[in-house]
Amino acid sequence: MDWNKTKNIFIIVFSILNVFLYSLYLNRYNEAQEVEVLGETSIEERLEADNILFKSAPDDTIKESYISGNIRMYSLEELKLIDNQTFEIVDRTKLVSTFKEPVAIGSVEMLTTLKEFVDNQVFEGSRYELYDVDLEAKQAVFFQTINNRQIFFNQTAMLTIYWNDENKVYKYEQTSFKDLESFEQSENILPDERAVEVLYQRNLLKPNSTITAISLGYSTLVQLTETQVFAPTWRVRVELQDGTKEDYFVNAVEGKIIEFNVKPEQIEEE
Amino acid sequence: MRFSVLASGSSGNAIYVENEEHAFLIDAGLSGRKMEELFASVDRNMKNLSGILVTHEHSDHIKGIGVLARKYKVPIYANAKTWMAMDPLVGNIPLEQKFHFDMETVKTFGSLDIQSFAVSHDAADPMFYVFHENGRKLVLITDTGYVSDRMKGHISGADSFVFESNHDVGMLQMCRYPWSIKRRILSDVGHVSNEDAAIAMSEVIEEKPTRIYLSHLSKDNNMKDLARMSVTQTLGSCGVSVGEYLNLYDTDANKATEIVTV
Repeated sequence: MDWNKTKNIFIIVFSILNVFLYSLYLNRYNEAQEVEVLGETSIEERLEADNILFKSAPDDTIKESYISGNIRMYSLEELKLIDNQTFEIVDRTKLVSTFKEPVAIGSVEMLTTLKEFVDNQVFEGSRYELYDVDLEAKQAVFFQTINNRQIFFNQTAMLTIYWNDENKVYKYEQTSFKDLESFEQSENILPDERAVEVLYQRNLLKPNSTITAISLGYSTLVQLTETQVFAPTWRVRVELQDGTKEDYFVNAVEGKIIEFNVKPEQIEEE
Repeated sequence: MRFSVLASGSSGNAIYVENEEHAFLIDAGLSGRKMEELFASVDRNMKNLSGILVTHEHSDHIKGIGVLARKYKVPIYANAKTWMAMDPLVGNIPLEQKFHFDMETVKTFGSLDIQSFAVSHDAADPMFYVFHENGRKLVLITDTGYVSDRMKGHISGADSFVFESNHDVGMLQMCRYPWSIKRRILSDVGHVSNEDAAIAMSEVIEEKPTRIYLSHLSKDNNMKDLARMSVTQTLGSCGVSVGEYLNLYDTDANKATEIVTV
């Protein structure tokens, strides 16, 4: 046996094998690099790929404080100067007003009309901003505001007005917080793009939808006996391809999705 | 007797206590340099320390111990199990600087009596301290999962408390921590919440001028305003009105409280 020849054959075979294995390694490496490149795609590009339209909100708030407030206790004494309304106080925290003579509000589709009515006719009405109009149920929901920002879906910070077939408001119910105070410590606010990204990562944003509005408000973070603490919260309104509107809420400090026990459907245009 | 909470929180803890003759540091959970800055901020010098009392071996309580012991030749006091647990973590400390302070014992330094008592925490043998001088009493109690009747016996009737008010339970439950961490914090060997702390406070304070420093606040699951509000309301529901004879004070992770006389 020619050992010299055998040795050469082995060297050649293993050299070829090495080249082959190295080429395999290079292919795998390149593929992995491509995957990483895809992973680094910006949120804008990913939204675009799913045909989700989004324009960043003009709100450039960088820092915001948590806010605390105490549940407001109503008393008939403070309401006695208000005309044309009879009041009932439920559990000291809910005010129910009935108009002796229902008040015309014109077209309920005119949202400024609703706001005007609330400002002029509702006890401390200027503290509330419109959230939702339900034309079928003939009612509109307003949320209490802090620093011109709404407190989202808080049973203790809501105003609901009811009207009849003649578009005349005959009743309203309201709850509210008082002694609203900012905490000393302020927190960095996540940009609105980050809120959208969180929703996208959780597959809550459907393809072919449009993010029509993003606004900063507050949601309850902590409930104590008499007090609640509110955290800055992004509200993201999405319009689906079929015209349905959905609202999503993201804690603007921690980036957690907040779920309220309400149906996002049937939101009328603000 | 005077004291200052130099730093308090999960990033590092240190409390300074002094009288006319002695000065003690209780834990040194920040870097040596940061500790020096905090001392300077209350116009004190580490060279004058009579000793450092260690509560337990967690890093937020011992981070600066080794450096300070070597640099200032200051005696370090801890119980035997804590010494064993922290020995590998603090580097070489000369034997002549190592002292034992056993659990549930009293050491006397001139007119100052320092009493140690056990707390319930997931460390080797955690304990905190009560300082007595001329009928005045200062209690330090943080890092405990609950406040037992035995602990209450040791701490009741103090004139000043440095009391743990670690977290809001709701915030902790909702936060991003892994479940195992949440379970640990909420357990009997974790940390006391704002409400539990307030309930314990209501059982140990007496109707006399009392200061309570809310301390060891969680960075992620509590806020100074929230802790104060929560403790105030819970104390109120226990029949104790804050502002009458009892006052609450904040502590900070990076800023020393003013030195006050007990």
